[in-house]
Order: sequence, then structure tokens, then C-alpha cells
Amino acid sequence: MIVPLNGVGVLDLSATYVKSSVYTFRRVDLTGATSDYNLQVGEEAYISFSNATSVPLRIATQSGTYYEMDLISFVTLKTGTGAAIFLNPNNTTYSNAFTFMNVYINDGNSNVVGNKNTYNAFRITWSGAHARVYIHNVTVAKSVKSLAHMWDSSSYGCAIAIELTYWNDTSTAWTSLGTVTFPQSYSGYILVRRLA
Amino acid sequence: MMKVWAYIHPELKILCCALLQESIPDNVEAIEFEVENPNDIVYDGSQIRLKTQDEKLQELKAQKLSELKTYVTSLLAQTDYIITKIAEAQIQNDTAEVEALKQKYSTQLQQREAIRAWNEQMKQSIKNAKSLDELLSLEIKFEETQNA
Repeated sequence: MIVPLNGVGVLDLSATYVKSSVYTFRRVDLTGATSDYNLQVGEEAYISFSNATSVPLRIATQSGTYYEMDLISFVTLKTGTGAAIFLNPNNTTYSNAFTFMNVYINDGNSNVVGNKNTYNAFRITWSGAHARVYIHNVTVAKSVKSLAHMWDSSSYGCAIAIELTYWNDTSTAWTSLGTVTFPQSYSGYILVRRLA
Repeated sequence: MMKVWAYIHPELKILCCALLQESIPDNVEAIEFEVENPNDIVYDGSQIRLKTQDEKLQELKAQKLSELKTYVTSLLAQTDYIITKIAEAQIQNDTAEVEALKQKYSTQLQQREAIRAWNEQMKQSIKNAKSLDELLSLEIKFEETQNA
């Protein structure tokens, strides 16, 4: 974070530095929130979780908004397992309403490979590790793309992936950013920054 | 375990599961379930219910087979250029070149055979699995030693 200081080391709030388009992110702790918070542009939500299989973000949203989200997880995967992590918009699953595609490269081989699939929610990553997720909410074109460092205890080992999921339905309003669901109990934290 | 509330979406006519009770739309009759995963619920055309163990097993088998196919394709892709070279020589009826290429790339060709044999074994193991635990214990990873 860059903090502008004036000549005597005091926070510079003068017109020469402070412009309407300049801001730093203000962190809001939504851990344990029980109702949706209306995250503003320039605000960052922080949600920590421990041994959870689902984490409601508790963030209200509307058409025309754009977010970036970091998912940082600390998990020891059960042997032989690996499964997708989802963002369920409106805290709901919608059967086969999401189209997913990705490209990835992993420990198993040196070729870039791809997958396409249908899911009941936005897939944001696979198994453990961390992901940067971009969330685009425009009712007629709702999508989530992620840059993910994935970890699988069985088939693939470590992988880097670019993933995209779009919501086939172009009429349902996305009003609550949703709930992140995990394939087993996870601990970690989530940061959501509203960019627009 | 988590509670979910399943319903048929009034406009979309698809199965939906609310993960929070407050997320159930107004004027919708939802059924409460306690599940490990919201994907454990199915609408079979007449009722919303939990998937049977066999349905879960068949789903996971399909997922494992798809993973295996992607994995094997990526393994073979690394030496596909050799097959292309041999095929081109065959098209030109250059049998000497075909034999020379087979000699030159014999190690890689043997490895491709080993990958295909392992792929068939894995497919059978996945199809024959009797439980989710047995299926989850199957590791989709080709070991180089299997080439020896």
C-alpha cells in the first residue's frame, strides 16, 4: 500500500494528491456476518474460516459490478481426493446451469491441456492452494474467471490453471455474491475487493 | 454435514438448492435435506431426493474416466509427432524410412504401448470399483517404471 506523505511526514490529503479516482482499499471484516453487506467500490471484505465446507460471503451484489477475490486455503487433502471448489451465486446451486472451461499444466506432464464441463455453480478452482478470482456480474453475462494454483493429492500434484465459468442463464439476477463450497473441511481466508 | 433446501425453480424449471434458508425464493415450496455436498440431491422427474450410493458411484466413475482420458491424451500428445512422422513415411510408401523411424524412436513407441496398456487397466479398475472409497483410492498417475 502506498501512503502519500507531505514534506513533514504527515498524511497528504491536499488537492495535489487526493483526486476523486484515487483511493486505498478499506477492509471490512465480514467473518461471521449474518446478513449481506453492501460492499462499496474501494472496499475489501475479509472472511476467515476454519474447518468449513461452506463459507457464505455475505456480500450483496447487483448487475454492473465487478470484483476480484483471493481464496487462500490451508488444507491437508485426504489421500486420493481432489475436487472442485465452487462459488454458488445467490447462495444457491442451479442444476447444470454453468459452463466451465480451463487450461492447465501440472506436475504429471509438460503439456498444456484443457477441460470443458457443466456444473451447478461457478467453479473457481480445484482442491487446495490459492486462487485469484475475477467476478463479473452483469445480468445478461455473468461469469467468473480465475488464475489458480491448484493442488491435488492424487492425479496431478501441483498445477497452474486459467479457468472460466459462465452462467448460461441470462435473466436471473445475481443479488448475493454467494457461498463458497469446498469438497472437504477447509481453513483459510477470502478477500473480496469491489473494483466497479 | 450441511443443511440445504431443494426446490424446482419456478421460472427456470430446474432443480435448485438454497444453501441458506433465507435464499429460498418467495412462494416456493422447498424440501430440507442434510447432506455432505449440495450436489448429493437429484430431481428424478417425479421427486426431489438424495442420490443413492449407486448413483454417486456411477457419477464418480464417469468423472474418473473423464480425468483418465484427459490425462492419457496429454501423455500421448508428447510423442504424437513421432506417429505423424511414421504416418507420413507410410503415405509416401517409404518402407525403409518407416523402419528407420521405428528403430530411432523404439523407446518412445514402447512407452506409448505401456501408456495404452495402463490406460486399459485403469479403465477396467474404475468400471469394476464397488465403492466410493475404492474408486477414490485409484490414483490416475502413470509411473515411468511401468514402461520398464
